[in-house]
Amino acid sequence: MVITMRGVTKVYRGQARALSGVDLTIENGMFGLLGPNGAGKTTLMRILAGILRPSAGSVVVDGIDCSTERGRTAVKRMLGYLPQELGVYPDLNAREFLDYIAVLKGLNDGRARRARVAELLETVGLADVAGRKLKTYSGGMKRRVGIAQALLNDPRLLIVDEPTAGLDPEERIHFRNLLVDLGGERIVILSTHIVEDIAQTCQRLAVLDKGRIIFTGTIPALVDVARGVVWTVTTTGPRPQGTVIAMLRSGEAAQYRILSEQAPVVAQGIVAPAEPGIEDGYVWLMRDQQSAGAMAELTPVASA
Amino acid sequence: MNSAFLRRIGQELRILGALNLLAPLIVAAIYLGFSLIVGYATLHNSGSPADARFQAARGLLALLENGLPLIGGLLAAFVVGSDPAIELHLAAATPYRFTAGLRLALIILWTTLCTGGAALVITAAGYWLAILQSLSIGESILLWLAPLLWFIGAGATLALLLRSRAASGALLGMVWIAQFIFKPQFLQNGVLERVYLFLTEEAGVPSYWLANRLILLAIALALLGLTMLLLGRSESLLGGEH
Repeated sequence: MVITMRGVTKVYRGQARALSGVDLTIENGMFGLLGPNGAGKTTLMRILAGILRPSAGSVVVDGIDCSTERGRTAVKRMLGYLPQELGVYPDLNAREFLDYIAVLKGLNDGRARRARVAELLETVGLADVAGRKLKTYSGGMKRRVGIAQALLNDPRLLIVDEPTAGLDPEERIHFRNLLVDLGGERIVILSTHIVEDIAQTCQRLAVLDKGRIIFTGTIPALVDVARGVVWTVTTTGPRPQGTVIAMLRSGEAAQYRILSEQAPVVAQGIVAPAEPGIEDGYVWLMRDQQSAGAMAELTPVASA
Repeated sequence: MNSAFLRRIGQELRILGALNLLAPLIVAAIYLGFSLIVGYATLHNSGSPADARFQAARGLLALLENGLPLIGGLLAAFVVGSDPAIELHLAAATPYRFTAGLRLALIILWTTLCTGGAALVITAAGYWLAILQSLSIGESILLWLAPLLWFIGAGATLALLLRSRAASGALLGMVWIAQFIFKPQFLQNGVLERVYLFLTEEAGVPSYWLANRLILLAIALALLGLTMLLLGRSESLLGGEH
């Protein structure tokens, strides 16, 4: 299965431009979509899910052209989707809610549907509380209901938008493992601004900023973006120059993880180069974008 | 009707909620109570049972022509105005237009049953106004069906255009109140009298009564058609309140 996006642009009413000429090819496996809040990730997810139509460009999913209503409906039949903000019907219990969503997804065989709902309630650890109304659920429990509903139709394309928001660390690990298990024979697109979630699950990723794809590649390739610019600085003096990624204070001294093209200069302390991580690569990439943006603003536009 | 569809209807009714479904019955009980009080007060003041009966019957006519239609419109605005699981609906193979249309149909069916049932009970109890005796059965149904569908169509359309239950409910309430405040202007204008919603209650059965009901019905059907069109706009549906 392959998803191909060419020149996808989305301009909302009121002229807000959410996406600009996005080109992306996604193949089977786990694919991460990383970017700051407001980068356009949710818009991209909604276009892939057939919820929104792009203003320009094309989306082809497994050979199906999504520019038509028929095409979008065909994609929805193979889709599992967990939105960023999952709304539920508070007076239904988890079993009733999942049964209802299963009907919407076209699971019309009552016996098979009930069996699938029971299986997924077990998978997400809600079987014991499946009879409780959803309005009594915590945020994390609702998130698990959301995960279960996305899997109801055993989707070939699974799109999850900020899936681990509201989950405790144990639940996050459980869910990440579940996603990796699912990512074999299907496409799983994980959109998040949590770098750690991508690092632990995805083979490939794209980084989106201000509606544009600024990076596509593997996790090691993103890590390499920051190679040679990561430093650890231990000092009792003032904060060194550069982008501070982490800081650990121990008595008078502080240890910094710094991103800087040049080795930071400190009066008292130790400076050493460090191996980059995915977070370093991401931050350096975003910093480059901001610098490029600032330069573009400073550069006078030639007038005719 | 197969069992899967019946099950779906059961699910939609659960989502609508018991309180919303009880609302028309609560309104009917309130109007009935006020009608009885007005009848009793008239009897107490004038001593005329005929006057008391007339005043009570007028109150019950108001239930059919302006009480239950308003609640129908508010329910329609509530049902299509927002859905907490809208994004899941839009990502599902079943079109949201079908789901919202089904919910709206359930509201129409339920409020029609309530209003029609109330009309039957009023008639059986002998509180059907004498001036309405000339109406055929079809016209007697039009008496309440036209404003009922008008309010339902207006409520649904406003909710989708404004993307707010509160704003659409408030506007619908303003339209309802305006019918009383601007009654003289409506009834003295050759065009406005044809679209006056509470014509029977305020003016009886004038010569243009049937035209008024048919025009209201036509507007209602146009509004319901517009509602179905608006339900296809995913981008707009996502922008509503949650």
